[in-house]
Amino acid sequence: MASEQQPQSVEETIVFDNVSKFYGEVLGVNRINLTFQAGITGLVGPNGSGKTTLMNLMTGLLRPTQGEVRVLGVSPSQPQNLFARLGYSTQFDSFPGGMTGYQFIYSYLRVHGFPHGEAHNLTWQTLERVGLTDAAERKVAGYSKGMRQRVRLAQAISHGPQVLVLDEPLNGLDPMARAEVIDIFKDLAETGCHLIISSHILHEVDMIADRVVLLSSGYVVAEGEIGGVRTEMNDHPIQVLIRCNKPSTVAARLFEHDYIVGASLHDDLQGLEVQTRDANRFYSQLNEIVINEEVDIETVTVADADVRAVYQYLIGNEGEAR
Amino acid sequence: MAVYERTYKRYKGALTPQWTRFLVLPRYAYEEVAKSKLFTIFFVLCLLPPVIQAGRIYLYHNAAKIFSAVPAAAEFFSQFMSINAEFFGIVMAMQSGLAFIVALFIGPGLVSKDLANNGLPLYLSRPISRTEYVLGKFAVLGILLSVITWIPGLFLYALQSIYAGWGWAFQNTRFAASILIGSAAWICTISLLALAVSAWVRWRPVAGFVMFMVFLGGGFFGLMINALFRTDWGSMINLGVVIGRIWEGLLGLRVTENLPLWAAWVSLALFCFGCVQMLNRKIRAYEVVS
Amino acid sequence: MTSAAVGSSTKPVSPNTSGLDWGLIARQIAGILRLELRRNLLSRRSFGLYFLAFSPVGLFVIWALSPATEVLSGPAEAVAQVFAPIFGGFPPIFLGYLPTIIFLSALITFMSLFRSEILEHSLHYYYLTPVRRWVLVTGKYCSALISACCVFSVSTTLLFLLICIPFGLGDASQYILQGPGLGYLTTYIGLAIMACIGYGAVFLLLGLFFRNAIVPAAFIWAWESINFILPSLLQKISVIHYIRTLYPIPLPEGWLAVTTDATSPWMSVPGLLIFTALVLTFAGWRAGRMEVNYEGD
Repeated sequence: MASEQQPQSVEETIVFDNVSKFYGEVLGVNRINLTFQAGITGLVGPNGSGKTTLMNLMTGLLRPTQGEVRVLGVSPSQPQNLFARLGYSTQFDSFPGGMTGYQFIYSYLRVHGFPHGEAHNLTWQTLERVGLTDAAERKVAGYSKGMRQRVRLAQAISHGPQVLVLDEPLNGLDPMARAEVIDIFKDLAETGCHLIISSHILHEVDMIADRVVLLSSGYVVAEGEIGGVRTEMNDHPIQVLIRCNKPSTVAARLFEHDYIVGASLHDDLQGLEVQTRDANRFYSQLNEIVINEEVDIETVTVADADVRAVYQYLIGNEGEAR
Repeated sequence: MAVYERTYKRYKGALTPQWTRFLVLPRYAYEEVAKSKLFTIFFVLCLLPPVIQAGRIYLYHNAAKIFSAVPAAAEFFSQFMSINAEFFGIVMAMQSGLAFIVALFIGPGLVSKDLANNGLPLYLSRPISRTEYVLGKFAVLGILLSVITWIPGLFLYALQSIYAGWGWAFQNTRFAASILIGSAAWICTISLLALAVSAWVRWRPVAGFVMFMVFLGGGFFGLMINALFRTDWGSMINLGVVIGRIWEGLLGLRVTENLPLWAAWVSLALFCFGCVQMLNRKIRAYEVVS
Repeated sequence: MTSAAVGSSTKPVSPNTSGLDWGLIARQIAGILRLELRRNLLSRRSFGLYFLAFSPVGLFVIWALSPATEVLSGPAEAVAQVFAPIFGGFPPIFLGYLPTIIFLSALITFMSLFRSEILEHSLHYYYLTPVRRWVLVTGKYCSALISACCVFSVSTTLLFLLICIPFGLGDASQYILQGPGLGYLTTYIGLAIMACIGYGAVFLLLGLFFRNAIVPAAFIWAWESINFILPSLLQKISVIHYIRTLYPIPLPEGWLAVTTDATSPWMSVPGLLIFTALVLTFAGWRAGRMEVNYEGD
C-alpha cells in the first residue's frame, strides 16, 4: 500500500513486518507484511480469516509468534507509549459490571491518567458525539445492542487517539445510526487519523474505506485502493456498463478486438455490458468508436470494481459477505 | 429411468438399552478431562501411594529373605510395619484426601458448563431423564474416584490375602467391607457436593472455590463451635472429621474424635440429602426467571 | 449526534517515553483504585468477602449471649483460651480465622482481580490504556489489599470486643485499655493485615497463571498446613511461618512440630514484605507477557 501513497515515515504508519500468529497448532495469520497509512482502511474477509487476530496484534492484546508490529513507530508491548495514541473498539460485547455509560468512559479516562475535570469534559463530549447523552446515566447493561456498540466506540475515541481500530463497528446499528457513525469515521479520517475497520458489510466498506485489505485463511490475498486491486486481477475480465443510443453498433465494433471477452445488450436496447481483459485498450477503443460512429454516451461505469466483486473473485463464497 | 424417493424415514435400527444411556455423559466428559495434562499427571500420582503401600506389603512378607544379612532391618519390617487396621486406615485416609482434590479438579465444571451454555434443554429433549442426567454426571466422578479409592484399597487387601493366606482374608473381611462402604460413602458425598455446587454456581472457578470453602469453612466453623460452646457437635459440619470418624468406626480404629459414629453417618446422610435437593431444584429443562 | 471534534480540542496524556513519569503513574494508580475499590467493596463480587469475614461475628454474638461464657473467669482467660486458638488455628489441623477465613478471603479477592475480568471479558479495557503492566498489577493489588485490610480490621476488632464484652463493660474496658488487651488487638489486626499482604500477592499471581486456581490454592493450603513439620529452610517459603512467630499468645504446635529458631519480629515483617515484593514483581512480569484472549474462558 505504501507504494500507492505518498511515502510516510515509520512514525506515521502502522507496519506489520513478516508477522505470524499461531494459536497452538492453529494458524491465526501468516507472514503478514503490511503498511497502513493515514485514512480509512477496511479489513475484509470471511469468519476466521484473521481480521480480529490482525487487530489484536496491532493493539498488543496478542503477541506475534514471529515478526514485528510497529504502530506509529511504537511496539504494542509498550502500552505506556502506544495507548495514549490508539483506541480500539473490540468485538467483545461485554462491560465491567454495574456501570453507567458515563462511568464507563470516565473511569477508564481516569486510568489513562486524565485529571477529573478533563476526564469529565472529554466524557461528555464523546457521549454527545455518539449521541448517548440522554442515556449517559443509565446502566450499560440496560443498553440496546446499538447503544452498546456506540458506547464502545465512544470509549475508544474518548482520549483522542491518532489510530482507531474498530472491529465490526457497524454491527447492530440501525441505518440512521450507521450513517451517523460513518460520518464520525470520515471526520476522524479527515483530521489525519488512521482508521482500521473490519466489516462484513461490503458495500459500506466500499463507501467509507480508502483502501482495503482482503484476508482469507490467515493470509493477505489483496491490499490497496480497491480500483487498483481490481485492475491487477487479470484472471477476471472487467465488466463495464455503457448506457448509449447505439449499443449494437458499439458491441459489433468492440468484438473486432481480442481483448473483448463478451458483450450483452440490455433488454431496453439502450445499453450494453462489456467484459474486457484490458481496460486501458478498451477505453481508448471506446473513445474511437464514440467519435467515429457518433454514439451518444449517457454513462460508462465499471460494474465489478467494488469490494464485493473483488471479494467474490478472490475469496469466493466461503465468506459471509453481505 | 428410475425415481428414488428421498423423503424422511425415521431410524428403525436397534437402540441401546435405556439403562446404559447415562454412560454417554461420562464418555464425553472423560475426553474433556483427559485434555488437561496437569490433571492426568495428578491422577497418575494419586495411584502412587497404593503402589508404595503394595511395596510395603511385599517387604513385610519378604523381609526375612531380602534382609537376611541385616537382621535388624528384617525385624523392623516384620515387626513395626504390620498390615492391620491402622495400615488400611492410613491408606484410605490419604486416598480420600486425594479423591477430594480430584473432585475439586473436575467436579465444578460438570454441570456449570451445561447451564452456562444452555445445554440442559438439549440433553433433556433427548430420551434421557433428569435422574439419568444426574446419574451420568455422577458416574463421571464416581468411576474416576473409584479408581483411586476402593479399587486400590481392595487390591492391597487382595495382595495381603495372597501373602498371608486365605485364612487372614476370612478373618479380616471387615477390612474389605469397610474399604467398600467407606469409599462409597465418601465418593457419594463429594460427588454430590461437586454436582450441587456446579449446578448452582455457573462460573467454574467460583464453583471450585465454593466447594473448597465448604470443606475448609465447614471445618473451621465446626472447630469454632466446639471451642466456643465446649461441645463436640460442631464436628458434624466438619467433613474431614466426619469421614475420619466413619473410617475409625468401620475399621475399628482407636477413636480420636469425640463425635459419635451415628452422628457422623447422620451428618453425611443430611449432607447428601441437601445436595440432592439442590440438584433437584436446579436440574430442569427450563429456567424460571423471576 | 454532533460533529464536535473529540480529542482534537483536548490534550491527551503525553507519556514520558524516556523515564518514569511518577505523577502520571500516581494518577493512573488512583484511577485503578477508584474502579477496583468499588468492585471489591460494593459489587456482587464483594459478597464472598463480607460473608467470610463477618459470619464468625454472628457466631460470637450467639456465644456472647449464651451461658457458655460463664465457665471463663474474665476477658484475659477468654482471649487466651477462646480467641487466640480460634484466630490462630487449631493444631495440628490448619483451621482458624487467619489460616482459613483470611486465607479463603484473600483467595477470592485477590485471585479474582484478573481472573474475574477474564471471565467477564472486560480485562481488555485495562489492557488498552497507557498503563504499564506492573502499574496495573500494583493498582489492583493495592485496591484488594485496602479492601481486605478494612474488612478484616473491622471484623477482628468486633471478634475481640465480643470476646471481652460478656464479662461486663467495666472488666472489658479495663482489660483493653489498662491491661494487655489493646496491644493484643493491635497485634492481631496487624497479623490479619500481614496475612492479606502475603496471601494476596500469592493468589494474585495464581490468578494470572491458572484458569482454575482452586487446585493450586488447595496445594498451598496443604503446604501451609504442614509448615510446622517441614525442615527449617522450607518453613521459610510460606506466609504462615512469618506470621506464626508474631502471635501475642503462642499456640501449641503439636507433637509433630519441627522446632526451629523462631524468627524475630524484626525479621518476620521485612521477610514477608520481601517475599511479597518478589511475588508481585513476578506477577508484573507475567501480566506484561499475558495475552488477552478469552477463548476457552
